[in-house]
Parts: sequence; structure tokens; C-alpha cells
Amino acid sequence: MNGKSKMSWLLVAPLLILVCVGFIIPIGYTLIKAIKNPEITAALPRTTSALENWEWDGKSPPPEAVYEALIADIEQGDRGRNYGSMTRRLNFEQSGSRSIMMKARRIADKIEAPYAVSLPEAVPEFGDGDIWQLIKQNSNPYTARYLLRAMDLTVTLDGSIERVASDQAIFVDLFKRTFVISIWVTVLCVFLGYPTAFWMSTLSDRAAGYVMLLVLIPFWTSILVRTTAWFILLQREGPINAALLGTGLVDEPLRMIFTRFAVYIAMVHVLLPFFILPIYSVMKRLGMEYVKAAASLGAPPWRQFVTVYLPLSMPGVAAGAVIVFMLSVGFYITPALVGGLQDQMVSYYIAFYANQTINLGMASSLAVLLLLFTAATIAIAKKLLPETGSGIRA
Amino acid sequence: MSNPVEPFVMFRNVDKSYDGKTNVVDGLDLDIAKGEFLTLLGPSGSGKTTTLMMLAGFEAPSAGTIQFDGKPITDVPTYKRDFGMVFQNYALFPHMSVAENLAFPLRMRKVAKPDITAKVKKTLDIVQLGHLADRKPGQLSGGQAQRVALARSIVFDPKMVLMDEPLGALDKQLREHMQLEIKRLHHELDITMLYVTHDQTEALTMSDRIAVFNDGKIQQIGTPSQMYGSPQNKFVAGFMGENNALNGRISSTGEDGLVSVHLTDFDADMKAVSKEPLQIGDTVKLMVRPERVRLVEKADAGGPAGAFACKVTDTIYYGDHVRLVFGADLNNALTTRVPHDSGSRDWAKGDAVLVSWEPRAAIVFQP
Ligand SMILES: Nc1ncnc2c1ncn2[C@@H]1O[C@H](COP(=O)(O)OP(=O)(O)O)[C@@H](O)[C@H]1O
Ligand SMILES: [Mg+2]
Repeated sequence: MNGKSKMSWLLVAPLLILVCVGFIIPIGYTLIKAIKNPEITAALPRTTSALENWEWDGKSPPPEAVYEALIADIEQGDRGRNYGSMTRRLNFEQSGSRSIMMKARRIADKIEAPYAVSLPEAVPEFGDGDIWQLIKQNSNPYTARYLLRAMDLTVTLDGSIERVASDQAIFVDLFKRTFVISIWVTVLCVFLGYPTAFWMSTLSDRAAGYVMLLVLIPFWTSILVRTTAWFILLQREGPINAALLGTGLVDEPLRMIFTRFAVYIAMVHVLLPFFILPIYSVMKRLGMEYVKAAASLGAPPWRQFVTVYLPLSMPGVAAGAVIVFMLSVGFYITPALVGGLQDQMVSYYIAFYANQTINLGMASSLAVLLLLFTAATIAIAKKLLPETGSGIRA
Repeated sequence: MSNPVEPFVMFRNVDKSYDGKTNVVDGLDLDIAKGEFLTLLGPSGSGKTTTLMMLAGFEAPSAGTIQFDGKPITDVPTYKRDFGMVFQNYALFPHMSVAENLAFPLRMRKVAKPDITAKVKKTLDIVQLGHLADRKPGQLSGGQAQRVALARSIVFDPKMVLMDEPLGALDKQLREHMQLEIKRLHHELDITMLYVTHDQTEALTMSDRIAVFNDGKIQQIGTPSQMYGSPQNKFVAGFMGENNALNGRISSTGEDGLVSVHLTDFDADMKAVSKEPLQIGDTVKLMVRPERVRLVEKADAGGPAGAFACKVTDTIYYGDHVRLVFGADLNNALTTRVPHDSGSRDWAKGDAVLVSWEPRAAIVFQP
């Protein structure tokens, strides 16, 4: 390596390190967390290896060797955390499994061989093959079950995939809702931001500077603060309702807080600058030159816009829309504060699984799917958008 | 030039102010005849573009009227004016191919598809770019883009063509080539053209008439030879072509509009034309073009204007000619051109010569 290239490596090193530490490693960790499945084998190493040669036939329990292995695992295991995680892991797959396994641990000291007889006497669920099959199914070091569950799918004991019971099927709706909200927020930002940015691009530099300040001031305020402001504004007793009542426009306070409407208004407010900034820079460079040319060539105003200005400013729209869409897909605090339960987005559940139930597999799976769906949406949008390769770049 | 009685385009007393205080175009009267190639020439900021933009309909005059073909057009929007325009940086639509750019004005006029195709092809052939029809503007060289812009401005048979410094972005050689090309188009299509430039050579070679602008006012308007040969004021004399501007004082006034001028820096008396009423003793600038300054053998050989002796202070080699500089003060120096070929003598600093010119070749103006 010569001095010059050493120098350039040194110059980019801080960024490379940051990207690795702050981006590649966490995402890789998340990806792996979504499919990692260590709990069962860690708590029941003997049982799972004894189960390897056993085939579930729908009714018969495994041979005595497997029972012995389970008792050995209980007695020789650490009896603490591993066993607990294992029971939670099984319970996630099949509710009720946790208490079965806990009972087994409690009576393990008190029963005598042959365990194939004594264990089912104490805990009847061990009498048939189902619980054993559940353990066997989940003894792989990697699993697709979190990802399947994030799409409301589950694996039955015979290994086929089917939809979960309708009272547990929330994630497909959740993803749909997240994308519907994000698309609407993006559309609203486009329709509000495009004319604003255009107007700004026609102002003198001085005036545009002041308007830009108005755009940027909310930008400098934390999202939490702005969302809280909406929380106050939209309340039943808040200033908006007070004004509406005061002017006699409505007879009773409108219900605005904890509605989809509140989510839209607060999210659009937070995200609008992200749309205006790129489209403004494109429009500023685009100028009125091409519109003038179109006018001189006989195009009336609306055709000047449709045939020339719009296609040439499209790269800015695309850039802004992609930013707004990607940010809104990941929105958490705003819907959580001003939306109702039916307005929560994927991030809310990611936070729920990560913080409340400590189910990192589920949290990671939701995150991974969100990433995939977002990437797919943007790829599709890119394909559908008219060819803008020769327009002004954002 | 056609009938001057009924001008095609008529500016009458047109003012334009952007800030409501200063007129960037001030009391403009300008007639353009049908089929004419008229050039607006002037330094940057003199109001040429503004004048063009008012005719194109992008700017409204603050006062006065603009008539086109006998009718006022101030209230007609640009897209109904039917003028072809060539912008300085061409403004070719980057998202359309060359052919689509040319088809654009025809589509706006709802010309039938097959006719559009035929007309686009024909116009591209006129500018010799038929083979580039499918290129995007970003893939064209400067000269090609310029020709596409030209083609687009004429493809819809506009009533006239307006060009704002269309060759400004090209290098010298290409610029000269395109000057000829535009001139050829003007002849072939017999179309009225209003051309804006700050390059006096371009104006001289291309135009039927030139209007010299300064400070928002037309200083003089006329044919290239009128503008070059008999400038009406010091600004035009200085702006059109190279000119010597010598300090002097009127020593006598005479008949025929000729005056005698005492040249302060050369201590000599020379005759010149006067276009202004001047008194004996007035300080003046005497303008004489380098190519009209001659070197003579004897004092009387210069004719009635006389001659004076001076020393060469510098020689500048130009290939086909050499410029000799006389006079110590560079700002008020006198230069002349002498042809340079194998037989001519070599000039050196300090050579003593006699300098002379025809009285009608020199003009005096108030400084
Ligand atoms: N849109 C505008 N707003 C304000 N002032 C302008 C505008 N366009 C031109 N000017 C001013 O008007 C004067 C004449 O400009 P212009 O017509 O462009 O001159 P030219 O084309 O001869 O260089 C200049 O001083 C310029 O600064
Ligand atoms: Mg100009």
C-alpha cells in the first residue's frame, strides 16, 4: 500500500467503522435473531438428541430412553434461566406448554423409573406424543417460525403450514395498515409539498431563505415535541375543539385524538420537510427555462406543466416520496401518542416484543419483514414510475 | 428589407422597469421589417434580453405598445404568439429525444402524426442532423445541440424567430460556422429574425440591420456598414470594431463638417469629421480606425489632413499583419495595422515614421 492509498483509507476509516458498528452489525444481528432458535437444545440437550430417532405418529409416546433423557436434563441442567427460556419458547408455539414443562420439573425428583409410566401419571400431557413432537420440532438451531408467525402462519405438529386462529392473526392486518398509512402520508406530503416547493422556487433568494427557515424550524424541533403539540391541540378539551365550539361550527367536541385522522395530520406535519427539501433543490435547479421554452413552442400553461415541468421534476418527487415513505413505515412515537389501538404500526409491535415480552425473535422477524416489504415496495414503485433517467437529479 | 412604411414589429415608446425605479429599457422605438435580420447589439446589462423577452411575451412592458403585424400583442400570451425562440443554453427538453423535441411544437398545434414525422425529418435534414433523431439532448455536442435548438425554433413555421445569444456557449470556430448556417437559414426560409448578441463581429457579419443598445436605449440603428463606417456617437464608435480614441482640442472649424484637431499627446494638427456642433478650444476625442491609419513617406503625401511624425513604441505580431503602437500613454495610444508578408519590412521599437489618415476616416466626439 503506498502512502496515498493509506491516506485515503485513513480518511474513510471513521465512516467505515461507523457503518459497520452502527449499521451492518445491528442489521446482521437482527436478521440472525429472527431465525435463531437456541432455547430448546440449550435446556434439553439429551432429550432433543434422544428424540432424533423417534417418529411422531399422532398418538404413541416415545420410548423410555427419551423420558430418561428429559429427567436427566431437568436434574442435571442449571434448573434456572435456560429452562425458563425453553418453557417460554414452547409456550409461544403452543400455549399451555409452559405449565406442562414446569410441572414436569417440579415432580422430576419425586418420581421413579420407568418414567414412561410415572411421568404421564403425574403429568398426563406426557402420555401421548404431542408435547414430545413440539420439542422435537423446535430443536433445530434455526427456525422460520417467528417469520411465519409475523405473517400469521404457524406450523402444525405434522409439519404443515397453516394460518393461525383468527383471534391471534394480527400481523397481516398490521402490515397492511402500516403500508396504507405510509402510502397516504406520502401522497399527502406530495400534494402539499409539491406546490409549496414550486412556489418557493419562484421566490427571490432572499424570500426563499425566509420561507426555508419556516420549513426548517419544525425540522429542528424533536419529533416527540411536535407530536406532543398535536396531542395537546387535538384533545377533546384542546384549542381546536374550543375554537370550533366557540365559533359554533360544531355542537359537541369532535373526536380527533386517538384517531387515524390525528395520525395522518401529525405524521404529515413531521415528514413534510423531508419531501420539500429534495423537490425544492430539484425545482431550484430546473428553473423556469424549460417552461418558457414550452410556452414559446405553443404549449398552454397546463401542457407546459404536464409535458415538461412535471416529468423533469419527477426525480425530485421520487426522491422525496421515497424518503417520506421509508420514514413513515418505521414511525413509532407519533401513532403511539396520537393514534388509537387500531392505528398502531409495525414499529409499535416491534417495541412491544422487544420491551414487554422480551421476544427478540418476534421483534426481529417483524423488523426483517418490514425491511423486506419496504424494499420491495420501493423497487416496484421504481419500476412503475415513468423513465426519469434524464431529468434533473435530486 | 421590405416596405418600411408598415413595419412587421413595432415598439413604440416602450419602457421596462423591474423594480419600479430604473428603466432597464427606456423609451424604446424600434421597427422590424418583414423578412429582416435585425440584431440587438450592446454590452451586458444594456436591456437586449429584456427587449426580446417583451416581444416573446415573457415580460410585459411597463409603458408603451408593441405591435406585431399591425395588431398590439401585449395581451397575447406567449404560447399564442407563434414565435420561434432559441435560448442561450438551448433549453432542449432533456427527457425527450431530438425528434420528440422537434415534434413538440407540432403536437401542441395538433398537427397530424404523419405530417409531424415528415416535417421533423425535413427540418432535421435542413440542419444536417437527420442521423441524430433518436439521441437525447444530453448526448449531443454543443454545436449539435445548438442546431437542434435552431431546428426546433423553425420546425413549426413561426411568424418570426427570436434568438438570445444563441452562439455564446460555442467555441470560436464553431461560432463562425454557425453564423453562416443561421444566415443561410434566414435566406432559405425568408423568415424575420431578431437576434441578440454582445459580439460586434457577429452582428456585423450576420445582420441586415443592427441596433446598438446602451443603458436601455438604442444608440444607433442602421446597416452594418453605416454602423461601422459612420457611427453617430462615441459609444457606437467605440463599441463597433476597434477604434483609436485620441485626446485633442478643436483648433479650427471649417466648412463640410470638417474640423482641425490638435492632438494633445502627439502635438500635431489633423483634420476630422464632426457630427456635433463644436467650438474652437473644445476638448474632444478623435476616433480613427487602425486600418485607416497609414504610414507615409512625406508630409504632403497624406493629403489635406496632413501627417505627423512619431516613434513606434511597440509592435504586436498577428500573423497576417503587425500592429504598430505609437504614443507613450497606453490608454491614449494610436495603433495601426500594417500588412505582414515576406516582402514587408520588419518594424522595431523606436523606428521613426510619418502617420496620416483621410480626413473623412476620423470623427470627433465630445469626450
Ligand atoms: N428578471 C429580472 N428582474 C430584475 N432585474 C432584471 C431582470 N432581468 C434583467 N434585469 C436587469 O435589467 C437589466 C438589463 O438586463 P438584460 O435585459 O438581461 O440585459 P442584456 O441582455 O443586454 O445583458 C440588467 O441590469 C439586469 O440586471
Ligand atoms: Mg442578455
